[in-house]
Amino acid sequence: MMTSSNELLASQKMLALLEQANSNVEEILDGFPSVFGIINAQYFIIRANAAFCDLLQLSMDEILHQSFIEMFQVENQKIVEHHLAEFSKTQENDTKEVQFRADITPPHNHGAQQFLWSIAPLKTSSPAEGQLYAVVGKDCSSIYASEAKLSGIFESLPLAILMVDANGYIDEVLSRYSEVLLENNELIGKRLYEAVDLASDKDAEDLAMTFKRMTGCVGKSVSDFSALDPYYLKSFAIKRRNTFNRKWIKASYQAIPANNAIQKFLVILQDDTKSIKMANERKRIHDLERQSRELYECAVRDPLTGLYTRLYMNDGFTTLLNGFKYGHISAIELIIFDIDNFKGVNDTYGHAAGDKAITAVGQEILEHCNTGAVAVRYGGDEFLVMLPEDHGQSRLGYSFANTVRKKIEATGAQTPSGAAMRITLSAGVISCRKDETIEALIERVDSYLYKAKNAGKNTIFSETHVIEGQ
Amino acid sequence: MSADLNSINTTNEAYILNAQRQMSLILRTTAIEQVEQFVGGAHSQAVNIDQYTPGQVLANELVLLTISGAELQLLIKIHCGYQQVRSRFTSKDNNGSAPLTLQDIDFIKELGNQYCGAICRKLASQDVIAGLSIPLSTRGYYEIYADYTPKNSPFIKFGEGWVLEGDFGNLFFSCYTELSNAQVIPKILAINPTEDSPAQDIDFF
Repeated sequence: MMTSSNELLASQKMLALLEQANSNVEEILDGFPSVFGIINAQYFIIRANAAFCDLLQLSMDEILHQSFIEMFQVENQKIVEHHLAEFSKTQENDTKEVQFRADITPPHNHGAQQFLWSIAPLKTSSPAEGQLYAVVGKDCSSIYASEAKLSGIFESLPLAILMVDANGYIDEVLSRYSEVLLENNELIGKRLYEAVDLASDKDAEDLAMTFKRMTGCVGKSVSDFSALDPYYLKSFAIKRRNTFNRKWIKASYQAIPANNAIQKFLVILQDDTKSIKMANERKRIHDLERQSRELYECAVRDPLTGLYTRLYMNDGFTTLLNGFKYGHISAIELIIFDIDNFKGVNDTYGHAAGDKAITAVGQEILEHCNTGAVAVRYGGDEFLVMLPEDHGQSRLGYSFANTVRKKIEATGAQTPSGAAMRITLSAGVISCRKDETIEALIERVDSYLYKAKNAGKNTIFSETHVIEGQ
Repeated sequence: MSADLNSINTTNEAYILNAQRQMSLILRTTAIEQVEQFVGGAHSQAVNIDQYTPGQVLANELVLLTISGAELQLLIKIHCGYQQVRSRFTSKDNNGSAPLTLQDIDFIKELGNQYCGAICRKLASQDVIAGLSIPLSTRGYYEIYADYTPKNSPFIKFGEGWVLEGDFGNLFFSCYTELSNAQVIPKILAINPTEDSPAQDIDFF
């Protein structure tokens, strides 16, 4: 039977197309970046791609019928055999794929390359070659190098990094420092609150409760775990071995989900002793500063009147005078008050009544001082007030002194028993000069007070005004 | 070498085995003479492949041809390595890394054509009329898809593999033969394995 030439050409064309399609598929496999091969039931290679040949530095002819197992070093051959045996063991279970890591040392290469192998049985089996398997090997050297680097970093971090299983037991210790920090070199298989010697029973109870809450989230979502975060114990103290010191630990907890359900936990512990000590030290310094301020206040404030004492007088006056000297304040006046016949008050009503009189005068002075004024109890019954200008108004000293004098004259004071006590004041007022010292100012203002006393008391003598007592 | 003798009584067994041996001789002798002609002066000998089973992957490339007639069908495969194809059999030390070209493939396909053409001529010399297919080239591991499962008919079938060991390295051959009836056996036995018949028209499928 003679086939027509057209049919022959058509069949030739079809065959050529079939061959081309097949060849394209094979080229893709040849150029597949990972190692790819097909092995037979005896684990001999019957197809290898270019990456496979490159790995073993063999040509495609040479690699054919090489033993897949024997291309590994002896120690790794056992690993490969073990995993391949899974197929024969689990024929009934229809094992779909096995994955394992087996390093390979290519010829003329000094180091082993880390490979992750995936082996899956082909659906096709050949009567001659038996069960066939597709082998894919991925070079994971760079991934494992990164992992090793990361692991090295983890290991050397000054943190305790622990993996905790679903039951709350430590099942992996990821940093060498963990054992140092927690002073326990047998952490695995223990619960954290049992593995450390907690300094207080309350911390022990709270830590146990934290783990109970955490493990209660197993199988749930991370958001459930996070919602309980405020209730986790974040800081606790453990006892140091062989000392009475404590070590403060700062804790953080992380849930590790698989398929959106929490399976494990990562616990990171940090030695917080230094920062706790620093915080304590800061608090101590703060307390000392406060105490010191209180002491200073006690020292510079007269408890009877609330006015400054002579201890503060120099500082207060100097500050105002400097402001005056450098032009920040245009005028300052100094007033001196003295209670008239104070000795008589003491003698008549007693010292307690004298104190009442002093208190009354002090309160009046404070009440009428402007904000910038410095009022001082200068002596037993003497008061000094340095009065700066107020909103551009100067020469206020006289009116200030007169207001206080009138008020005291009108209201007097009360004895401790509640009886009314008439008291009066004499005062001297001067305008400060820029080149005068405090001592000189006081001496000068004192001279005006002296004049007022000599003039009959209950009066004010000023550099610019003279008022006679009423 | 294997044979399905289910429907043949024991008195015919020796007769059939003779046919197998004769077929094997024709195939191997023709392979030697055609390869020697094709390569030009190459010397080789045909050797059995140890424990050969039809469907075994023998090399990276294979060229498949069929010789089909009413009385018999031959499925012939030539299996060769890349290096051999690339070197065109002149030396087995040629560069092994260069990719195969279309010319490389055509070379081995043409060898298959010549070889199977010669077989057809020898069969035709005893009036066993059979047509020759166009050669199909593919990767050697596609042998895993070959179907050699036992069948009830034809009544005689046997497979064999041999290797030509020569200056060019090892070139593998395999053939799976199916005889449709017993009447073809005397014709096969009458073929002179070493005598190439004159060229005549061959049917191509």
